[in-house]
Amino acid sequence: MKGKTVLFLAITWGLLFALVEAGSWMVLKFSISRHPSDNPLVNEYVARGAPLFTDNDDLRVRSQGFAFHPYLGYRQAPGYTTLRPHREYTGHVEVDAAGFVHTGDRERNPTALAKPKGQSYRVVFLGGSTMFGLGASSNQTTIPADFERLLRQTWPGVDFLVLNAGAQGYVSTQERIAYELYLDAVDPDLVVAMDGVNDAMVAGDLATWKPHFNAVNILDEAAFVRLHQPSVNFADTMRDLVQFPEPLASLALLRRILSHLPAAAGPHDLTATYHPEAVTQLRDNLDALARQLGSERRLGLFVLQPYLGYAKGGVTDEERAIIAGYGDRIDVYNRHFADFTALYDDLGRQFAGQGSQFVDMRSLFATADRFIYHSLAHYNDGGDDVLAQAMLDRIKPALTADLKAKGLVQ
Amino acid sequence: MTAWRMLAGILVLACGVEAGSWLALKVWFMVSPSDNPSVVEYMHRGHPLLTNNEDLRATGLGVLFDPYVGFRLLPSHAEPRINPQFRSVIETDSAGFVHNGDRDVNPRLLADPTAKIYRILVLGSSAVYGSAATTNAATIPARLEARMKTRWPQVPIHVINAAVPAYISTQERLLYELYLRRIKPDAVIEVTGNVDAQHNALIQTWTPHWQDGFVFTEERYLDSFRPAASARHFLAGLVEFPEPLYSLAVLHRLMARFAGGPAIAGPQRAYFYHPEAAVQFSDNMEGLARVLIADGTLGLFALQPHLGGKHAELGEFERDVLAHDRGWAEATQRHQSDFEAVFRALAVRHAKDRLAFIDFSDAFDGVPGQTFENLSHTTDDGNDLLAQRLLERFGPILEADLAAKGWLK
Repeated sequence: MKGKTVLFLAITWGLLFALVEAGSWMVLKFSISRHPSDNPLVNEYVARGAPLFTDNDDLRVRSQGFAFHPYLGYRQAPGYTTLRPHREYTGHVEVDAAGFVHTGDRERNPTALAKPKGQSYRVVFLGGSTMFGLGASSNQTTIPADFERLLRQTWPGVDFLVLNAGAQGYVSTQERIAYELYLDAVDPDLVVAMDGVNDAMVAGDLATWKPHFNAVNILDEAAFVRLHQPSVNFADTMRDLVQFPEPLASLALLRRILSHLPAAAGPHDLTATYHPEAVTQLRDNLDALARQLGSERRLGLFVLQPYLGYAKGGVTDEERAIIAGYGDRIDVYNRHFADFTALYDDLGRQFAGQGSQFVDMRSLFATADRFIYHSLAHYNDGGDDVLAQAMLDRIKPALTADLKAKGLVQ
Repeated sequence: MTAWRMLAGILVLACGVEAGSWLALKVWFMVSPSDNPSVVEYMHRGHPLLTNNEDLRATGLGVLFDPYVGFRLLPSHAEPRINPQFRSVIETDSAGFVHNGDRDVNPRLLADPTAKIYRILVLGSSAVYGSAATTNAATIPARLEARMKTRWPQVPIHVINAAVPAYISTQERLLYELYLRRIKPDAVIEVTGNVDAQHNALIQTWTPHWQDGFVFTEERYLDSFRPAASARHFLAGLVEFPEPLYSLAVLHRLMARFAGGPAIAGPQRAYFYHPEAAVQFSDNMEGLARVLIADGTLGLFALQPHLGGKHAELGEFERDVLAHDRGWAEATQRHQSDFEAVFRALAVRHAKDRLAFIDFSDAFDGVPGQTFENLSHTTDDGNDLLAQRLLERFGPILEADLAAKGWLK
């Protein structure tokens, strides 16, 4: 009798489990057929069939968006599209096979970089998420893409190659290392580096100063040590199970429920701290970059970026809400930025006549009454366009002279 | 009833193995105490069944993860090493440097930025770290400091050993640019070349700034996203040092005998030559030189000697090492020849700067007896001799700098 009960329970549970498996998959299929995803990984996941019969580990890996890098902490994963919903639109920004955010044609950079430079004029853009295009609607509306369009309009006969090496969360240390170790080898003629917000914010979020710290590094010492521990971590296993792409719709639902539970305090809930070391570190990084550019006779444009909270005319309600979300922390960022402004003035004088220009563009949107900011330093398409134009205006005399000296224009 | 008896028997046996192996381990360490502080601490804490030793397991690696240089030395760590010829323990101080014999000197002197001392920072990899030295006091920087203090007794000279095993020139450059520059040394001595030459000979397809000793790689990072628990990794973790049980230590030793187990890889069958290695090496030297020039720091670059390079007289042990790794030595030598050309070019380019680029690959020419423990690690005698050569060739430049700074009145 006892054996029959056990058998009945086993069969019941088995059937129930099979029903959940099949049912959740059907719900997911039906949902995707009604509302197709704009994420190519989701479409591929659904097209492959039920995860019971398909190994989707490659999709799981591709869904990370960032790849570990031993000298930069991390880099943007090639071939990955970042989706970012905004009030105006959902942004789609894709990284090409060469690891750059392309300017509209994903084949162009890998193809051009595989060939000798020849008579082309190469421009490399360095920066964090703003340069990457996290506020843009598409690759074509990022700052480097706008800059490229303006270059082609101004000098239609020149073969420009614009490489957007912006990476989400990068501080100036990472931009410097990326250039020193990898990007210098692409032999750019002009390097545009836009900095400020990440160095100011990341430093501000530190209670105690840590040199070259980056809050969003995908791996830190604690994580590294954890990886050497043999014990199976139940929490991590559960987290991995419900991470995209979800093996089951029921797990997707579980993830949604989990995401509504109160989380630990995020960096924006914390108190900010002013660190005078932040400006010294930024100086070291920019100084090293400018010296390298000067020694190789390349042009440099170093831009202190605009951010919400400083000189924005006609702040909209949405923008006001963003500022309010940072509370008193914005005052600490402003203190860091005040240091950075003095630094840019100083470096501008130091490198005058050596090919590198340092310009403070914090006031660029001072007269803009319309909506510009999706976040503290992510501009919408209109903002990106204005910034690209301002960059070109600033570098145009030096660029014209350089193009002439290289025989690319008359 | 028989099943219960069997179960009880297995349990008693397991307890016996647990208690017995721990007892055996305790007795063993009483008879021959370990010179590894992690092991001493492990034994002191008591039976691993009742103690969480995960922190010791992590420190057993001897390195810290660093997002910009891959890894750095763990402060206050002693690294024991046993090789066929000697036992050694190299210790890092609380500042994260290999001290020169006194673990308190670097933390004390670095804490006082106003201290009137002449500070020299030595960059390098395992050979400078002291991988074949018997003690901290026998490393190249320690011997150099001793010789300098003898030559200039009136100068308070402070030599810091900032070398990290397996570092390539990219890491040496970044370590200085990001972290060590703020120490504001008067002079930097960069002893380099061998790891770049050797590691690049191991890769079939050229990979910029690749290094064989990274403690973390992209593959391992991706592995961390996989939810499946690996029995193999779980077992490997259990039997890694420090062993939770003596019986597991035996298991570790047994596993190491099987192919695919945690055995040390033998010599590779194929080695490769990459002309890009010299370009990368040159870029790194230039990068470091640029920072030194900007700061007005004296820069002394030494291309280090290696076994199989110049025609030094070899001891019997060295001949055996060379014969065992002949292919690697030859591939290394091709890269090293390119590096020699790089050094010649850099010496010409920076002739007017406060920089010197000197090739020390002939440092042991005509010296009888053993100076190498493997292709690039120098023994105590080799370290002392190299320190002597460094002082002979960099001495005039250092003396001029000391005089210019008023130390030799």
